[in-house]
Amino acid sequence: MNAITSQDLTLSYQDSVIIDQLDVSVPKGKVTVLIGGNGSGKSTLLKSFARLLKPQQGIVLLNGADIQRKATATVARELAILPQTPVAPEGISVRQLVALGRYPYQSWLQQWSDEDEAMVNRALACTGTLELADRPVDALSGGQRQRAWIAMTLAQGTETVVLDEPTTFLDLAHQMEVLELLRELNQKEQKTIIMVLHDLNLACRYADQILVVHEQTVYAQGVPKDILTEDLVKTVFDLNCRIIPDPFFDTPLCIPFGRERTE
Amino acid sequence: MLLSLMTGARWIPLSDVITAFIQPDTMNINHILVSSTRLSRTLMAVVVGASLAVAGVLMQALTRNPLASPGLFGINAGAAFFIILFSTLFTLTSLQAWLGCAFLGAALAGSLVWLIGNMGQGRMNPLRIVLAGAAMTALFSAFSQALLVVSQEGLDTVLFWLAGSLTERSLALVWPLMLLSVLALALALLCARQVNVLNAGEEIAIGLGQRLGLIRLLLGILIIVLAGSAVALAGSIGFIGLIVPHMVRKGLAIDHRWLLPGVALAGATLLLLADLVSRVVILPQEVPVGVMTALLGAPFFILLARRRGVRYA
Repeated sequence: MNAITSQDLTLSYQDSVIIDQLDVSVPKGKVTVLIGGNGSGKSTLLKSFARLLKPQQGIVLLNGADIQRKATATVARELAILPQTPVAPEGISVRQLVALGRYPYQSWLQQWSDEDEAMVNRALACTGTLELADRPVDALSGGQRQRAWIAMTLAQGTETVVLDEPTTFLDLAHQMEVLELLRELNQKEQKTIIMVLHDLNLACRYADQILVVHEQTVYAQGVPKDILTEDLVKTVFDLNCRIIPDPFFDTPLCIPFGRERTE
Repeated sequence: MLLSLMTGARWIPLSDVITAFIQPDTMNINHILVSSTRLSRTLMAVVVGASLAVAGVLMQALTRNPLASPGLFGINAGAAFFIILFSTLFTLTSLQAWLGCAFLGAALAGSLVWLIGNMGQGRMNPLRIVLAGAAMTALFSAFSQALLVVSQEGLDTVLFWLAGSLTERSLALVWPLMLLSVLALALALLCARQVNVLNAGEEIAIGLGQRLGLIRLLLGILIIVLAGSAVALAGSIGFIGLIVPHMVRKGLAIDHRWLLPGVALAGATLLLLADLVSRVVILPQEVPVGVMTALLGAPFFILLARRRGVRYA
């Protein structure tokens, strides 16, 4: 069963085509990581998965139905997106931010329910932001802020969570913290996680499946062990490297060479 | 509000104000003053103050720019231009025509800015709205000045109106616009949750399932109606739409469910106070209330800018 499927998908900004006639599927209940060079279109593809970008041609199916034709509130109950480096409104508290995640469940009549309250508290608890709940978001450190945003997407209570570079601007410890949290959510609650990451080694460690975005299409797709090869890194990133098995996790470990050294 | 009914070039005792409502005496000059002019003036101050402040909050949320004010939509300049244009082309006799004219100009300028902001590829760009607003303001002001140079007789009335004033107008003339404002205010209060989500940013709002285009259109219309009728009723009164939202955010809440009613109340109070002061500082004459709000607002604005500067430094 696939969470997201694209058919004949073409994405473009103005006249430049970013993704060209792509057919790809993202399985349910797995962690899928998109990798690729700068400007390869990873983020663009991710945006189209979350209806932030309209396809120029073709369709994106979310749980089997065209995402552009579904009511946007329905989509928001099935899929949550965390864009790259979002900016919180000035002065908003963590709890208020997380509470925004319940918007898709409210209407003019139904304002704030007990379930909303429970979901917000759960999202705060499992991201470790409960004790930060009353602090303003703009006073938090980068790692705390990112956790607050993740809590907001979790409060949405969706099966699928899409994140665009959730670890940017975080130090290594905070990167690990965020990735551990996401994997835990995947394992405990069978959430489908789709995200863009830049660090190949972390991508290999945390992904069940990797999508390599290159030359306007998905260049390769599969289990990290099978697809991350020296040739692939050379083609996609124009980088010489050696791939060895990670001594602790047995996932591929990429050791990049500089220009000086090719062997 | 009672104080506002009592104060003016002629001081009316409280007892007279009360009896004017309970047992109106058509021969008593004080009673006539209260019910014919002071009452409408007070109500106007309340409605205009609330409208400007609420329009300010909505504008700041729509553009995600803390320095945005309803004037940015080119609304004041549009209204001024239309008044000057029509008063030179035709002689505007009735006040009704004046009001209609100003509202029309405000609505036209606002809609133009909205259309330009939505032009081109992609979704509405808040920055483009701000730029379009600035351009439209400059354009309409230039037209107005050109017209004023050509025909000078309209200058006096227009000048008074440009400074913003709550001159006593009879309730019979202004009630349609006031009703419109009150309806728009009520609708704005109902949109509080939507504004909260919009305020979190475009991509977040879409991700949360907000119908962004629809909400932005609705807010645009509300801003044009609120600021347009305020400017038609009382001329261009500055600073209320800019300052009051910040005051209430600091003092009350940033959640729009509290913020919106809060600013409506604070805006009404502030304009009422400014109007009271403007009536008595140089008795028996009056200072235009727009001058008063600017006097009150400018120092506060500088304070605000300094505070923010310190925080971000």
